[in-house]
Amino acid sequence: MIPEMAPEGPTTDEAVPATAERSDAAVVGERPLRRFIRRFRRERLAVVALIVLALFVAASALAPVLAPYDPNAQNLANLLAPPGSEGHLLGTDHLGRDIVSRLLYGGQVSLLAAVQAVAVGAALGVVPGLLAGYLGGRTDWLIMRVTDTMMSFPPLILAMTVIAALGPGLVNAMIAIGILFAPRFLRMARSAVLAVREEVFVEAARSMGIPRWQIMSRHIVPHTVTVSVLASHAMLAEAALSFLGLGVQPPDASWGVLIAIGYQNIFTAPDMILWPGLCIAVVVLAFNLLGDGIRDSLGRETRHPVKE
Amino acid sequence: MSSHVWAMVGKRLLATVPILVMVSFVVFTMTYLIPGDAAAVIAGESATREQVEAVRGELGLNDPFIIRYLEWAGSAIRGDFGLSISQGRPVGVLIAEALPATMQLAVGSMLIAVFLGLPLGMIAASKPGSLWDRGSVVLASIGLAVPSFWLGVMLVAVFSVTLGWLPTAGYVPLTEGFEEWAGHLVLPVVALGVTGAAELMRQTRSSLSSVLQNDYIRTAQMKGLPPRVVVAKHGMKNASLPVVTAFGLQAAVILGGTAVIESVFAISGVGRLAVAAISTRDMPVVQGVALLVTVMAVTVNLLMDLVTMYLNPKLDLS
Amino acid sequence: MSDVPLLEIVDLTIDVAAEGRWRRAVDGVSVTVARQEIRGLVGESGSGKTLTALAVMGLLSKTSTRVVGGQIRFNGVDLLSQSPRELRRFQGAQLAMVFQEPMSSLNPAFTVGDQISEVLRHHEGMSKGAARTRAAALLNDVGIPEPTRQLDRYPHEFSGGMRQRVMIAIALACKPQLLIADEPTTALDVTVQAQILDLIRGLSAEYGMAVLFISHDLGAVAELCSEVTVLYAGEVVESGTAPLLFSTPKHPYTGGLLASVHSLDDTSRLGWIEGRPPQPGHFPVGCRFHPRCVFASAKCVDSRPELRALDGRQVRCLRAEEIELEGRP
Repeated sequence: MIPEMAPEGPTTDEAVPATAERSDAAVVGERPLRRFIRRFRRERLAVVALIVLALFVAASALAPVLAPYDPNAQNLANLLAPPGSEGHLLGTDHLGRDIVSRLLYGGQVSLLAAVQAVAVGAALGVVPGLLAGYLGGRTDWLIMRVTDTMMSFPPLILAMTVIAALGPGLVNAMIAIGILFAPRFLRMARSAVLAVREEVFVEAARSMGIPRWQIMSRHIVPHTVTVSVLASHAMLAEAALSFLGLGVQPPDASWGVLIAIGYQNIFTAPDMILWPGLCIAVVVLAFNLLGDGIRDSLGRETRHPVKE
Repeated sequence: MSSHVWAMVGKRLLATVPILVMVSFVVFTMTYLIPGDAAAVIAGESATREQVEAVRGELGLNDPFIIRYLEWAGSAIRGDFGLSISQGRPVGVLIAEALPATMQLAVGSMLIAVFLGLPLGMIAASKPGSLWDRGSVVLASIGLAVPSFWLGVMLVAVFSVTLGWLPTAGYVPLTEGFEEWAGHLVLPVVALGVTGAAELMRQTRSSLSSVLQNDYIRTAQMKGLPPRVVVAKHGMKNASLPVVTAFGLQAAVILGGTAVIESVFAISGVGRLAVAAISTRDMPVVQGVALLVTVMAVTVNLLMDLVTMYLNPKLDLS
Repeated sequence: MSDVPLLEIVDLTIDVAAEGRWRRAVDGVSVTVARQEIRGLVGESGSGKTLTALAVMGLLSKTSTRVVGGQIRFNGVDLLSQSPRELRRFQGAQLAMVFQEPMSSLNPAFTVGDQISEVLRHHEGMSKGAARTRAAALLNDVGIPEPTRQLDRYPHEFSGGMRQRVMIAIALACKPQLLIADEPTTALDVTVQAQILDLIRGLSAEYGMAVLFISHDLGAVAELCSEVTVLYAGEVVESGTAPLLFSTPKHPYTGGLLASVHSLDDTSRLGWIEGRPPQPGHFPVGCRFHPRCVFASAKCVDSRPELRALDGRQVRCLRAEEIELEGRP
């Protein structure tokens, strides 16, 4: 690792701030989870991301408590109030509804939707992936060809096609996005199974009494990175679909819908589009950074499992 | 090119055919699974059962699945996607009218992705640890987190509504003047291309910085070649493989993303056509657009595979 | 003009970044190479020989090394004070280098012919066709059969020895005055090693080119070089003509190296030097060689020897006059 250039001065006594990794060798006898947590705490960006996510989740969950107004309560006397107006931190929309409240409740919808989409993807993809890995042969070949085909589709096109078949709506949109993600979960499950099957250490490890699930988990844990990233993609996809009117339907509102509404009022209140979009961007960024942090904390052990 | 290379190219082309077939199959299958009854919709609310049955027979909805698929696929190859349920006109014509706008938007965005992403990534990789390098990582992260349609909306808010420099919406063909045409396309193309640029910048930086550690880069420097030649020629020739693959993926994302951007900017393209068709459950249109756009994405990826084969003589993609 | 040495490294001092600190790796090294001379630069790992070579070529890493002092005069011009752009006029043209790892020193994505032509077109402005012709001639000079056909082959189609020949062809393309060869044969089979050494010797004569031959293998150095400089722990410990050094070494390290050279016809003498060479930042106090020196005395532990003239060469040893070393005449 390359330290940064140091100022002039005597040589051997000079300390240069090193960006090199401090010795990261496994502490003998340290359990994998502890080591992961120890490493993760050093990934400052990821820790911040995790905190930010937690804050958003908490805020959304506590929306009923935190929101100053009912998000659907219209106040025709106070339309399009600018941010900083009395009683409305971020102003009101074209029907007089408080924007802060709508953001909080919108967050509920957006975050839940992302989680649901990922869950659907996992539900649809993991089992076929496990099958493909275990059975191999023609079953595997067939499943992989179908997966490849699904992955050839431009993402939004596939989602839109499913929604065309099922009809617009939040649930259908989540199913559509889930179908979109299923191939990725399928591949993850399949590669985990294949890796375990090929692992030379399996017999040795099992003879030492290491339970099979621990062996499996070594190959599954690296994929948690992907889940975080998929969550971020799910948010973006839901936002896009809802913006188009294909996802969340009125009167419900997700952040994507709020952007759409804001856009309709772009000439009179251009700032309305800012807040929901910012929320989306921050949460997506947080999911991405979290995924990066997890990946960097996993280290080399999970790629070449060391007998402990 | 040697005959061996032609053979590889041919094999790759041939391998695309089953993919296209399967894609068409998937498109057809999904739209086949609609709950609700297209025949009833077409026949109208006051139609009698006999009339609905008649319509169903006409539409061929009673035939076995595989026959319907083959009929549809056979026509599709000839460009005949049937009639739009909501507009009554041939789907093929509707698509043909809407296609130029979408193509220009998509190609423009791909160009932005390449000509913004690659150079920035190259600069970042050739100056590790510098402000360029760290800045590019930050930029890329932000670029990937920002929804493209929101970026589009924000650009409109700034450049059209507030500053009044550019028009808010619509598409103007090139024949009506360069300024008008470009003015209408700038914001949409930027909005759609930025995400691709961010991903390509990240990929380029990552791939190139590890390539630059190789010994042959030192040899190139030994020759007295200027740094830009070392990076752009010696470095990129070896680093571009993952970047090319990433471009294929981004191209697919861009093609899909036209739907959203066209809605933001009220561009009468293929994407907007599809979105409207979904609301009216106009399946022939959806099928046609979905198939066409996916075929385009598959084609781009095929081209990228061919480029990959050219770039790396050791690779045998058969 | 013929009085001025081709290459004069004067008091070169280089620090490297290691373990979070700057460590001195090359400490006041001075080496001279005359025109058309083949000089050997001998040392083990940690001696600073590769860093010195890279410094001459201007290929030192800007982030992990820094030149603290000294001059590198090439034809009278101090290379260290040249801007990068000015340096590039020398690199590949008057100065060239061949590296240790032939397997990875060629770009896998370009044909061998392209990689040779590139230097020619860059420095001499040759057209594609002219460069190609010259590239084929170069391949022929370095002993590659069927040169014209080989031009369109890729590096991975060649063996290690052949790739090294290609590297030499690239280095030779613009008829450099100085070729730096950094362990050019270390990564190759023994039989191929001899061929490459012969090649370098022949080309030096044919092209009238000086060679700075860097190696830890005294056998190879003895084969090839007329002058020798021995480095240890960042310092020159002995320097002189090859016959002189090899027949009557005056520094224990040189003696030790000589003793460890295998000789097919004389298997009776097989010695070695105990211990391992120190790395930058861990150089011993006093004489840097004393922990491994069988002749070390009390004063060697405390005092730093200076480089001084003795018996027609330079040597850095406090006890050089007192000790008897076996040479290989």
